[in-house]
Amino acid sequence: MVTAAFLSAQEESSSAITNPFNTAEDRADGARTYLSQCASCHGRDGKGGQGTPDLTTGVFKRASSDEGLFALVNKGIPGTAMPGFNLNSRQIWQTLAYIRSLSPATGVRRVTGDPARGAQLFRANGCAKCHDSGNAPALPASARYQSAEEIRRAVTDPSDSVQSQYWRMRGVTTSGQTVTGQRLNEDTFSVQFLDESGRLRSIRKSELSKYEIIRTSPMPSFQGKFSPQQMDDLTAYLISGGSR
Amino acid sequence: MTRPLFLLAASLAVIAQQPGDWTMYHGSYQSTHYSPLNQVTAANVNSLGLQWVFQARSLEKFETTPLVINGVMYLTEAPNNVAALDPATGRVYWMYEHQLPEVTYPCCGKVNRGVAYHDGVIFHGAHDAKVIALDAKNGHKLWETTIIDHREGYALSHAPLIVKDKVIVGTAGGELGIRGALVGLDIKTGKEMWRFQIIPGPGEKGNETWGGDSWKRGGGSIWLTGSYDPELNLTYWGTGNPGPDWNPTVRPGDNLYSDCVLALDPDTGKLKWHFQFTPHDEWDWDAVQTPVLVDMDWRGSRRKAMLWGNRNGFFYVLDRASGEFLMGKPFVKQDWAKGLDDRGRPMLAPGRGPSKQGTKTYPGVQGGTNWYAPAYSPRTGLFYLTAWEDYHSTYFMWDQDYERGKWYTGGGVKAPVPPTRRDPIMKRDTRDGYAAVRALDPKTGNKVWDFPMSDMSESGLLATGADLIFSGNREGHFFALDARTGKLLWTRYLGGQVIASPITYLVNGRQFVSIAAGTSLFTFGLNP
Repeated sequence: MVTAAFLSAQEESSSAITNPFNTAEDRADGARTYLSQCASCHGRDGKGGQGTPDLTTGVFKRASSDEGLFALVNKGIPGTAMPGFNLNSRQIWQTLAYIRSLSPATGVRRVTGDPARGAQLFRANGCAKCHDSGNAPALPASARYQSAEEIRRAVTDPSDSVQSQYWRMRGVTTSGQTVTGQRLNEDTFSVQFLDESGRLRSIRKSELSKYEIIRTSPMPSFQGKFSPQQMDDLTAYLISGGSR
Repeated sequence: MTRPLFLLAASLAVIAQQPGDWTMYHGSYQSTHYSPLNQVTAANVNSLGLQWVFQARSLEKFETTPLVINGVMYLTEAPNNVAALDPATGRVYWMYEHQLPEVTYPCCGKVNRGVAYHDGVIFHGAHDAKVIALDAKNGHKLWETTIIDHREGYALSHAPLIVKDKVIVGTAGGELGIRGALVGLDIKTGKEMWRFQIIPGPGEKGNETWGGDSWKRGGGSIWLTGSYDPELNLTYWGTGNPGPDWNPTVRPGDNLYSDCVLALDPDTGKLKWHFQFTPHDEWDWDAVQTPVLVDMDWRGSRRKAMLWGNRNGFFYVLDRASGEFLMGKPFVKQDWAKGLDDRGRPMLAPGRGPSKQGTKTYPGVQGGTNWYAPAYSPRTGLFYLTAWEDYHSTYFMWDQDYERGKWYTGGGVKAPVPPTRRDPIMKRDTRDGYAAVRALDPKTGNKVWDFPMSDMSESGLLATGADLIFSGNREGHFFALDARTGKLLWTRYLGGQVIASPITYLVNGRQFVSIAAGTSLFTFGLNP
């Protein structure tokens, strides 16, 4: 058993696990866990206080790898006020993803642009027309847990990853009528959608001869339309979530 | 003195055997989830109307399957309340509320699936690892037995099984580093009469299938009621995953008796035979499914068979007298095994187990099916189950030390499909999998018909004497299908996920059908 443990430790150093739960959604879930479990000692903003370390510097004293941080949260640090937390592994990974995103210098949310200039670009390009209408993700608020990379990709390739609540649908009724709109919900027997005239509708699938989900975004790509500096500014504005 | 008592007991037993009752968790010892009741038919199912609703007070997942015995319904609501009510109106006669300690260790919600009944007594297993016997007249506690120290990660979540003078119950906790057990208690006193350790200790047969002392935290939970064959005097139980779930490197070997069906003598708890579906499981595919006992012609001879749709994605037919493997075939998309050998052992495909970087494998962690009840109809000769088709997970492995009362899984899972869904909005589509009510020919394992749905389903099935299949789904629908063709005959939207199995019973000569959905139990009957 000693040999086996030694081998597995060696294995670990050559191929350490990286956090499998590191999407914007994971970070949002992690933020909720952080607020309920961690914030009372480490502060709502993660900057520590009363003897607890600042978690936003990108440097962690006791461990640097994801795996090492996982163990700290799971087991606690003996002789300190840091307890082991009775969270399942998914919750721990999500919380770590959120904590790492708090580091402006090293985290996935590291940006160099000027948020004020980004806000001007946002206005000048008419982004709010859709992104403050309920028909597209509300910006900048809903970019709060996105990484800089995710934001850049969403601006240059909007169809890359469309959240399901912004999927569209197209159906043809048995009488030959085409129905289209924003797909709001669906089950085995029916689909609920907001049609082009702004009417909430529910239609039985048995009344449709054709039905498809459209997962592409109606947003035009801004690939090549912004300079690198402008893209950084816009990213800085969006990643702020409008709060900083 | 004894004779009148004996006669009284016999007449009660006769009453309890009425075809209009639902006397035990799986409906019968054979666990076919088949009822001969046939008032509700394909021709009149459209006049099936809501009769009453029981609203549970807990917002926990409502996994109850009620019993109906001699004009009284018994059910559980989370965490460990037992109610007796009028099955005609839903009005409650009495309610027993078990007081739990502050901390208990259910893996996946403080759920409970039901009770057992025998001779005027209700038996219930609780999250603090206690079995409680209640007077069926008034809910008065007759005895209480602690099976094991729940603080070690144990809990009881399934309905007990009564066999002769024993109450049989097993321990959940497969994600908490337990060492599972099945226990036979004296029905009168609760005294422990036998105990079968699912994970054998040193000196016991099977312990050699565990490297080092990994057997100590080997899992092997029990969280679903078993079956019983009175002629063979064998009781059958499916066992849970080995622990830790996703780091198999710490437990070299086949890891008996995890992921098995066990055939035990109910009088002594002695093991007669076992069959292991997933030796050295790396994916958390508990064999915690319903052992369906069917007598059938098998290639020229009559067999006492057992039908089993397993979480690992294979459908099995076993000889339940001997444990002999008769047939196995995938019933959903799977890529972890190249097939089964002639003794039923999976021939592994390379590189499908968990890894540090994650391995995408079919089926996903919830399996091709799971604990919700399948059904078998002697009229159609078909086996029905809820199947998760085209569904995968990404399995991760990491090192983890055991700590008491904490999850000990040695890894994690990422799946595009959540294990349960309370959100009323469907946030995905069928590209990452869907559920179907699926009819299989048990002689071949071939699919006969399919009723596909948009989302997954954790609803069990009920087959009736009028060739109807009742089921529900995660979307909140409750529906009836034609048992021969799978055609949809009737559906009602109940608005909450179904994580239970339907039952049917007679009350005042009328056939009713009940299903738990959301946090309520809905009962339907033909409108006069």
